[in-house]
Amino acid sequence: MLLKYMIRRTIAAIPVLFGVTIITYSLLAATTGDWVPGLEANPTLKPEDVARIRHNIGLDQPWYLQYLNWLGIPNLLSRLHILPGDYQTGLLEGDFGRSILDGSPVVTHVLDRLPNTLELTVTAIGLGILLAIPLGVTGALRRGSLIDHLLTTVSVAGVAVPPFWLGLLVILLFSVQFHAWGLPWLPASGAYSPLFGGDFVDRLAHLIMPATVLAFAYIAIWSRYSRSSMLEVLSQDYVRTARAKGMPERRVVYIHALRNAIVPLVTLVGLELPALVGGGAVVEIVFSWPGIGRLALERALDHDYTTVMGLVTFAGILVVFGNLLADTLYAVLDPRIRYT
Amino acid sequence: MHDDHEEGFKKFEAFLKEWDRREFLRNSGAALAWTAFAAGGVEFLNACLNAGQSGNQPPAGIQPKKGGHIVEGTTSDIKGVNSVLISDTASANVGDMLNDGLLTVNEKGDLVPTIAKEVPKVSSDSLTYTFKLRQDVKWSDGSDLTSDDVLFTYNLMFDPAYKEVNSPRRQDLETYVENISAPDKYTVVFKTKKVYAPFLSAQGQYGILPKKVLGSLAAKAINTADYNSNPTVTNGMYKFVKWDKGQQITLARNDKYYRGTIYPDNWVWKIHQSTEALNLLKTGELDIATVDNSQFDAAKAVDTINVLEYARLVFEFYMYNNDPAKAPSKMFSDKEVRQALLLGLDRQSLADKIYFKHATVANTSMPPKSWGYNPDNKPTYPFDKAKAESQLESAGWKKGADGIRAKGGVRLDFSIQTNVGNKVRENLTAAMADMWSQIGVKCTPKYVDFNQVLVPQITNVRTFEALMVGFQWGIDPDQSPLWHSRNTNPGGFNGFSYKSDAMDKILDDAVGTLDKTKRKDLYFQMQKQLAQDQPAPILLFSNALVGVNKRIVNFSPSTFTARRMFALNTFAADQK
Repeated sequence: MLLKYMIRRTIAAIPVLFGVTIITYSLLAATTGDWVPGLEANPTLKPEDVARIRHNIGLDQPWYLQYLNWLGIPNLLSRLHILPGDYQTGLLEGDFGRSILDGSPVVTHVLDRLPNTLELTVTAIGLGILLAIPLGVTGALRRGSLIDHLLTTVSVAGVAVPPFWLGLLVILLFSVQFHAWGLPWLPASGAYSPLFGGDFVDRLAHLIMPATVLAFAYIAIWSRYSRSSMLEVLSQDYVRTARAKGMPERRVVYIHALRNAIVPLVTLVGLELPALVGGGAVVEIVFSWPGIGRLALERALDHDYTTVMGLVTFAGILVVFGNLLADTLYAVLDPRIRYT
Repeated sequence: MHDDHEEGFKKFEAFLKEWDRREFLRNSGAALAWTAFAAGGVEFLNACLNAGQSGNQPPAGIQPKKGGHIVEGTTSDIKGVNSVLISDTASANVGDMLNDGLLTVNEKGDLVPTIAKEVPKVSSDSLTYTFKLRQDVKWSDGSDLTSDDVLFTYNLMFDPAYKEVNSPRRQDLETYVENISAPDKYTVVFKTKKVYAPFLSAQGQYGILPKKVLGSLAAKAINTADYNSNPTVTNGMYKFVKWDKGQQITLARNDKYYRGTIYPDNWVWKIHQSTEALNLLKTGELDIATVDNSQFDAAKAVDTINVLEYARLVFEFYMYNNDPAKAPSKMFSDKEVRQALLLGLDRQSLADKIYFKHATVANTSMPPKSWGYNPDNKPTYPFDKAKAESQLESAGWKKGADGIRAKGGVRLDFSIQTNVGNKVRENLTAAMADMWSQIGVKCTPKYVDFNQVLVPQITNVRTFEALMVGFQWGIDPDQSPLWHSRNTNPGGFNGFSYKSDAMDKILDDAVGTLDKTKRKDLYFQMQKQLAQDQPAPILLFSNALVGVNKRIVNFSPSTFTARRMFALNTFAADQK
């Protein structure tokens, strides 16, 4: 049953992904600007050079032809001997194309940076889950206590404080000031040190600040959800029954109540799965983290169509399957949920 | 459109790359990452140049030694290091350390030989340049660099067979060059089509590429060659190690380098957020980084950092749309109005408050460091509100009931566009609008995207009323890209429609002779005419500020010096 459901969802995802690519491409085409090769570094750039390079890249074609080319449809047609000529391979054949800016394959851009981004976001989301649930449960169990009020205050701050601002503050304190005070300090930029870096400790030192800043907002939101969800579950009949049976309180809370209380949290965390790729963009920028979010932003501003399209398609695939994964997890966590 | 009197890429380097929108997103408020700051007059500029020349001098007793590494900051990742394709500053900086060109530029602004044995003498008809090459230049694999490599490199930008190579410099070469030949192993001859004074400085510095690596590739494949992101064979000061995209580019010393010993084991380019430059200099994560003018004093106060300041060949200016076919020309066609508006600006206060005194009020269009600069150019336009008002008054622009001047039903009310996110320009335009409101002129700043709106406005769309941007020049004083009427054609930078036969002749004559005295005289004429006409007033010249860790010695960027000179003898005093 579940397998059938998953297959159906996967098939349904295909038109969604095409919708995403065509909307993105037309939006890119609708922006007034365009990529002017060489402009930024060369005020004497000649219009003839611009025209020649744009023609070489295919930017002189209407956007829908560029889009079909990007999909690789002319190439498929020519392979089937329907269309004469030589065309580039495209998405339909699994080729994400090459960046119009630097000529290197979009896939290498993604693969070079994906590990860094996942390192950051998985850590942040993991930290979020690990801290949010105990905090939420504590708040629920000690409702109205000082610690509950404290956690509430921190949560509100977590939602209210923008990560870029928090990022700058922690850099000033833990990097610049700690360095000035002669204390062990945390590096403020990049995922590892030049030359000597790259080992586990070095990467961890670079990871602490950005991951914590990124996790802060998650902890704030998720701990609130788990608190209220826990409160609701604790007032349920089956919890009362469990207690009436004389079950130890720890078992009541952590086995019976918690499993039910975290179902809504799964939805929330599932919704964050696309953020595994792009959600850390702001933090990536503040900490000069070599990740995908920063790449996407830079290349969008550079009008690097092919790279942006590759990233969007890639993120689209992750969103679709992230949601599917979350839905599947529901069924595992809550046997009452069934899919047909 | 033919625009054949400009210098090439290496000279001009950046069309305000540092101020473009992308930088600003990264800068988030602290614009001017790379650029410029203040100064006050020639003495100060000389002091700057001297400071720049001396750079980070070794404390007494410190001898250069091999070892250690240097981390230089860059706010943008590179796009690739193939000198023929490079079109952005970050890539050019890295490319310059990997492959040398025939010539480079020293601190005086003079061309000096690198791969060439000497700066070539031109033939008696001023058309043919014969380069004799050094015979001791080796590729990093040990083989000789010969005229074949030089010819191959230039052919990528010149030979019709390589039209599919996406080089933004082809038109330059096609315009000036008749043919290129290599009569023997160490001789390359360029025959030009006409006398063109900036030829050597414009075309003589492209990094030479290894024919053995790229020569077998088809034109189209050059654009996507592995060499562009992983150059295995190079001839420059450093060898390529690896490029961690979005993070850093690592280079290693070239022990076979022909121009002397390179000291550091490694030179690393670390990509960083520009607002973080000072923090990263403080913690030592960066050894070299451009600091914002607002952070100059804070950087000076750090005892581990030296701050180098030097004048740049950069100016900040605004243009009036004076195309007779367009409405704004009703306001701007009279030069009395254009002059009066400039008189109404207190530019010293702009330099002091917006550039934190790291900029100089411009009295002419020529950067003061240039040999074409006329220090006595007249007229100048010092702030004079009363004179501005009387000049507008006598030109027929009378204040209406709303306090705005008008003439024949046309109000002196216009917008000025500049690129959003560039805090310096946003502040400049806001302050200018305020100053103009004091003389009965209404100006509304309008902040637009750099690549999407501002550049197309200058080069093609041209529906703006007024517009502010910056321009960076090369070592040659030619300023045709802005002032020649040819560049009013679509794609050109004369978007303000300045057309003067006299100016065209001055500019053409000045690049059409190799006689420096004659050229200087012509550039004095150019400055004189521009001072009268004021088609696009130059506001300020801005300085560069570079923070350098004191452990780094002999790093000496200055107004003219090319990277291949100022980073040549750099070393890490602590060998770390």
